[in-house]
Amino acid sequence: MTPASLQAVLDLAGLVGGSYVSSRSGARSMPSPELDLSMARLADGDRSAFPEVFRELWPKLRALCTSLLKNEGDAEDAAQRALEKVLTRAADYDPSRSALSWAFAIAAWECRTVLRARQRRAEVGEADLERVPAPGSGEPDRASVQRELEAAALAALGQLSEPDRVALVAAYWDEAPAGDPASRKRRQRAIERLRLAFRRLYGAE
Amino acid sequence: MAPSEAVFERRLRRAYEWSRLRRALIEFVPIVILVLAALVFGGRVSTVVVVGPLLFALGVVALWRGRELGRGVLPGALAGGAALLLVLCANRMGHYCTGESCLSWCIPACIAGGLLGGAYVGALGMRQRRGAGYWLSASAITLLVGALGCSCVGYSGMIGLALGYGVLAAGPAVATAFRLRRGR
Repeated sequence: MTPASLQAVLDLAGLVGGSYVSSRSGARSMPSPELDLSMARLADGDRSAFPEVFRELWPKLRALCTSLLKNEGDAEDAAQRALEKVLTRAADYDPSRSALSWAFAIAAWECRTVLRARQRRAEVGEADLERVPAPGSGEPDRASVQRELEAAALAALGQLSEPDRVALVAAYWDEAPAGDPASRKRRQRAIERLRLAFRRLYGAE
Repeated sequence: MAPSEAVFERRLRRAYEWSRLRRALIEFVPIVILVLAALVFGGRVSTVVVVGPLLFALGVVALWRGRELGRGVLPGALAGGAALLLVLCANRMGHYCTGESCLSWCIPACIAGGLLGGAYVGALGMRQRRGAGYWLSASAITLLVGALGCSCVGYSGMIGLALGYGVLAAGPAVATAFRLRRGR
């Protein structure tokens, strides 16, 4: 899988979708050194960093979950669970990695859990959902195809371990240090495992 | 911040504190091995029963609070453990007798253990430029762990431990205090 097709996977997974990206003016790069520092302080036990981490992460996680789940109620629940997990696992945070990527990976996992639960319940009632319109969503059949592709991409992402998910999200947001061989290797391995997961699930490259 | 967000933030804070406390309890459980070793291999039961829970509570609180306090826990446990090991071995050796009198190996072992512990904690604290919290928790834990065995001859052993520790840890601790006052 080339970086371009990985980009397509992540696009399809809604990580650049709808209202989330439009509020970022299309910017892909999301440096967050202040957040990394605050998260490291919180991991160390500095309680004064708590409000900073909460203020930075909460709106971002909520926006991500909304773009992935297209349902405000589910998105709010998933984002709350994700943020709770991030904060209860703050001591596990690796200061050499991006805090935002780590949090996004946890949130993406929560969203995947919700999507799987939906699939199990066979929830397809559009009228019952409170929709968040995504720009350019087009006709209903294109929207349902888009949703299926997003679900497929998330399912494949969900097969990966957390370090792989974090590496892919960090690569997407250009947060991996440029030219760092260790980051490049991690990314390549994560991409390879994502490709294998897709093949396992869908027989596709 | 909306009221519901404030409630959510408070809930998250509680979850964060509980997770830190759980982690501290799990991380400090191995100290029970040292306490049991002291009970089995010759420490006074009355001392162990008092010092053991105090030691456990102190270590858990230091790890829970984190930062410099938390950083002193492992060095303190290692330094105190070395001192305790020395004392428990010395207790097995019985007494040193000259023609006229016999001396327990306990007190010299406590002093030596204190010196060893003070040297380790002091060297680490200086090298890593640790703050006051480190010195406080490392010293308290070293002395409490050592005290599990140094009660062999009553308070004399514990005083010997404290003196030995103070001789080699005081210098680096004072140097750290001056450094902190100068703002470095």
